[in-house]
Amino acid sequence: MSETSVFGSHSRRDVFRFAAASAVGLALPAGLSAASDAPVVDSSVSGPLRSAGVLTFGPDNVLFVGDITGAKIHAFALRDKDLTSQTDVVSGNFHNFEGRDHVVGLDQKLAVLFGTTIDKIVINDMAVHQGTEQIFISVERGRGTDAIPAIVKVNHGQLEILKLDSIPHSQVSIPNEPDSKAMLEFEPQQVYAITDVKYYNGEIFVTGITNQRFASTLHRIPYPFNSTVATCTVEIWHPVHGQFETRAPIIRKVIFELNGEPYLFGVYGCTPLVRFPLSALKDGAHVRGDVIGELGYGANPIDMLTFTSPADSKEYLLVTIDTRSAAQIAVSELATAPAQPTGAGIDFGPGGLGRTQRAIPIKAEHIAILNSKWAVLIWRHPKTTYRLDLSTLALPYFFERKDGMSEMNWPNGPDPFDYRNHRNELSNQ
Amino acid sequence: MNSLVTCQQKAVELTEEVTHIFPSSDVLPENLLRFYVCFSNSMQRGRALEEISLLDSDGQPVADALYRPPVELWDRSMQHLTVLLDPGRLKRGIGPNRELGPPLKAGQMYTLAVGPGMVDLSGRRLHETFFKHFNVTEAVREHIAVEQWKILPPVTKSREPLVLVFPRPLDWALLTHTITITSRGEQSVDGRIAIEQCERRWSFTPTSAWAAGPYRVRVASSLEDVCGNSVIAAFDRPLRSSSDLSYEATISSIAFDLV
Repeated sequence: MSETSVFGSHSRRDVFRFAAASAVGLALPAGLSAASDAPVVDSSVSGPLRSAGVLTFGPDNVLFVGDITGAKIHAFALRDKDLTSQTDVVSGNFHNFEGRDHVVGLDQKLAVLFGTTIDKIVINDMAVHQGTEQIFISVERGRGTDAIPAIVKVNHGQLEILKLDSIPHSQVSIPNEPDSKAMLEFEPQQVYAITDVKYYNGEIFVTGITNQRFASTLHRIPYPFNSTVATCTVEIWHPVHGQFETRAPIIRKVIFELNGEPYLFGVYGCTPLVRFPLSALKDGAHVRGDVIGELGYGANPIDMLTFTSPADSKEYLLVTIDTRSAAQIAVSELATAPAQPTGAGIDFGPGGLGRTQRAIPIKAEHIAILNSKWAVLIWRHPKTTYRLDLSTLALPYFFERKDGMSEMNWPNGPDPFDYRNHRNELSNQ
Repeated sequence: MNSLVTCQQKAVELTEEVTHIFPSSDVLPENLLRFYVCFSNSMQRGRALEEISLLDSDGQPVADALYRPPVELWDRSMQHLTVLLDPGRLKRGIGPNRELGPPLKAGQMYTLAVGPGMVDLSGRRLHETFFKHFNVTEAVREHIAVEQWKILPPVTKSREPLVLVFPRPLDWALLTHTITITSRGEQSVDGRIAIEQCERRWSFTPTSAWAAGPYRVRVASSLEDVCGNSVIAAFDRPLRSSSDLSYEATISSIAFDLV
């Protein structure tokens, strides 16, 4: 095992832990052994990034990366050689709701790739390039101010680090408070933690939460970048005791057109799900979103996405939540759902979201749509919680049959959905 | 004697600890929004959820009181961590507030505990669990009224500090950069600040002696108190009519003259 370490020596403890992990016999895929490569972590890897956070794809193979430490959004225009088609990769047995593990022990393999231990690997976000179905992950090696950011892509089960310094790149700075001259010797700096970036129709929309003032800013930035940034602030209203309004940072959002009009749907950190017409989000405006639902107390949103169900061809919104099942709502309901007073029970009647709202028991640290039939997740299987896996999960029910009790597991059990006859049907779609 | 002091100094440098938790006061309002946990060394991220908890007067964790942000809210040096109380429970009328009530209750005692699993850049754990005990008093639901501040101007030609005294504690981190002093012609005055008396007193010592003339103390509207009430409005404030909404950012100022 190579001991060359580009960034300081392993402590004795780290070396023993690494050796122990190897002794257990990690099944490393062919071509990637602990001994083969010295850690490929130098400045060509991070390029202009000072941190690697939220990811989203734009048009023309552009990958946007949120960089909290650098206070910037980066745009990497991936070239043909930076992308490899993954459409031939077997996703699983769609008929029988059986997904596949694309990468077993993702964190373990990233640790090997970066020449470190699992505890030093942080996976921040995942995005799928739709044309090639290639999965991209933002990673940091290290958990402190010396963390090294990188973008890793999955190529037929192998992990490859992007050399960001060679990819055509542009960037825009996120406005922060004006820099004051330090008047206190060890001043705590204000940091805007970018929590979400989405591209829509020539612009990126950036939201986040700061570590100091309780601000709720949303930035609209034209792409290609030209250094204009429109900034507005968002809030919610809640009618109790004469009606209040409060600032509310948006944690995750999606933007799409409904009835010919573009809307932004966001989840706030205080749990409401809100809707804004995009036209209202103007520079200098302070915009009140319509609350159309609430996630419930103690629930923090992780990811928010839309997908088309292969079962009924309708579009659905999915919000994954850290402490409970994901919430799924039909998109057709989102335009017409009446604005709710917050705190009231969500209207489950014919007029409200409740008719198609469903709790989906997924526990995914990261989730993205892979193609028309499959989602891909980074998650921990209950039997192997010491490691993260990258696995597929069939749409639209996000149900993994292998992990559930099923009548056709019994030799003479009923098989109303004809699983037995489809047992060996693996496909890449 | 000297070698004893040196030994003690070395011992302190080898450990890592919580140096302070803001707000400094041990009496905090029921609608407290945030703590700042300050560490002696630059830290590693990832352990806050496990290691930082709010305990009730029996030492039991208070469920669902602290907010779990999507990323830990460190400053750039990673020596200061912002811990928020759940905004969903603080905002009157929002679902979590209606279901669970506010995170803190007036009249009760609580403890913010920071456990030894908080690890610094070199892998050192905290020397020991750090506890901040505090009592809770009634909520504060009004904006920061700059006109109620007391200003103690310095003596002309001295380098004595200019002092501002606030009727209630304000947010420590925001106090470090939202108040500035300008002299004639909007010239910014160079100096150092100090924040004292549980964030109720802000003082500014100029680099050069105070010249005679007009001065302004400028206060950015982003300054908040410990509950998130800003100079412009309380944290949750009466609904404004929808025709009237725009981004509010003003600078309040207090004028004073030195003769």
